[in-house]
Amino acid sequence: MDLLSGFYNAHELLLAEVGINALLTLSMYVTLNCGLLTLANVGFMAIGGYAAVLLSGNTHVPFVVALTAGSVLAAIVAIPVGLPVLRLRGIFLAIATIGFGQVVVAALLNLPITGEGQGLTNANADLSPLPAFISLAVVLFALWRVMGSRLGQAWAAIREDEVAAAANGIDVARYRLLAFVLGALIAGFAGGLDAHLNFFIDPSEFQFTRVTQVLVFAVFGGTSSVLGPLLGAAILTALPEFIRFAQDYRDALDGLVLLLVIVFRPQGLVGRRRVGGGLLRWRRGARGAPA
Amino acid sequence: MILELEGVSCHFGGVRAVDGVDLGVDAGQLYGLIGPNGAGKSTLLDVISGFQPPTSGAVRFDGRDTRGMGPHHLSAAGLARTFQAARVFRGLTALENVLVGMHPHRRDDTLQQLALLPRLRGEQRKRVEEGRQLLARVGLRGVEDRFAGSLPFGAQRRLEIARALALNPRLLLLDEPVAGMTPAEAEGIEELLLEVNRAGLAMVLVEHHLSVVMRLCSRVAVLDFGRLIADGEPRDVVQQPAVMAAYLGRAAAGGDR
Repeated sequence: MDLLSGFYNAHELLLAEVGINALLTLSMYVTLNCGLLTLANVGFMAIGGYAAVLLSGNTHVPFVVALTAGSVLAAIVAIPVGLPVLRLRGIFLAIATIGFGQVVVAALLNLPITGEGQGLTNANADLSPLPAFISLAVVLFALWRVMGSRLGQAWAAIREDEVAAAANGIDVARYRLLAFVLGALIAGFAGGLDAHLNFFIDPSEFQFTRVTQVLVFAVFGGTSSVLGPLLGAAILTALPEFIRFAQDYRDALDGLVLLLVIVFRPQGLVGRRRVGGGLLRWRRGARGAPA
Repeated sequence: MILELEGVSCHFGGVRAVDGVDLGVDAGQLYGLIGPNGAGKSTLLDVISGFQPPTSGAVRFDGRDTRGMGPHHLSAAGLARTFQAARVFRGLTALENVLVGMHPHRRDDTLQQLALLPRLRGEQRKRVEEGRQLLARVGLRGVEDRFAGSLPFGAQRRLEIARALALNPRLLLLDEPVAGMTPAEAEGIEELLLEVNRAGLAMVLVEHHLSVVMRLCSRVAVLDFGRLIADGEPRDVVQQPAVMAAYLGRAAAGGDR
């Protein structure tokens, strides 16, 4: 027990980061699970983070309220972004959503309210990993239940074949948007938690490397159940901390992991599905109109 | 009349894929739609099922104009279809495939799932039982838990029909359901279609092979270059000179089947 509490105290920040990265990866899982490869998550994370810091810095609302407001704002932004962008498929969707992330960073760099790239200070920072863990537990439970519901079944059908899904009474556009908005909600929440962890928030955290990191977590862990993203994020976040030499080569390692997993275990660590398993499922969504 | 088409056209630029088609399908009828390759059969099916909006003309399903209705509206309203390439959900099990077909008739249960309500168990059990029965009806007993993508092609076709039946449709559109099958597999599908039709379901059968339509359908329409060139009893239709010239003549020369 002493060992455990000693570990906890020594690695509070790391544990919180594990929780936040797991949340981010789950936000990507939501969209991947309905066949969408969207890389807008970090953009939504930035929106949630900045909104939470601005709100708690300028008003006296409790942290939870600022966090929720940032998360909801990210989800609201996702609607006008998703409506046009989700008409795209496969790699085109991925590129368009990367573009969204870049627009968010550009906005953070230039808007007066976000400090014009100077970043913002957060006076109420708190290192405790508890908020991240509690929200992670809630999100895990909720997603696990949702995937077994009518909604989750519709998402699975769309992932497998959107044309056949439409021919079976499933409103593809609506369910896609729902997944996109839910992903943004979770990413925005993770952004708020992340911002709360530090005394300072600046645009450099939300660059493209962060996007690839989250993607690597998802691919490594596997996206056929909620456990994959959790394990992928936990292992790959914690590992470099314990292998000292790895820290300098983190990005290179992420790339290597991505490569190895895609070649040798495309379904990821926790993949079950033999047919059409793994991340590359989204490719099938690229098939065009019916013959 | 369950399905009525009035002057339906579908043009892609200068290509008149479907051009001024009128036809009507009665409730319970097994209606054949034939024509040579590129005659516009599949396009017409896409128009009827809502995947392709017509350039002009009107489609009425069950007396209701379908203008502005997408495929998910139409399938939920009871207009089911299958695809030429048997589009099953490959990564889902056979049973899960059929359960997806029940989507429109199922209440949304997301919140109940979150609240862990036990009542759902009973409903789910009932659906699973129904799904098993549908699979048995199309001759797919014992493969419920296999991934659809791992089933042989003939079984995938059957699965697609079971999924369509799960929609509880009043009209079923079939796009070349026996294409690419061995004669034995094709015969099995033909029997299945007749059985389903006898139970009262109207069908539009798009076919390339005349023989299949002659065996199954009580009425047949012939498309050529997007235009309807004949419509009537199968035996009368094949005698018409226009059909012989457009369809049989070219088929004989081109080696159909």
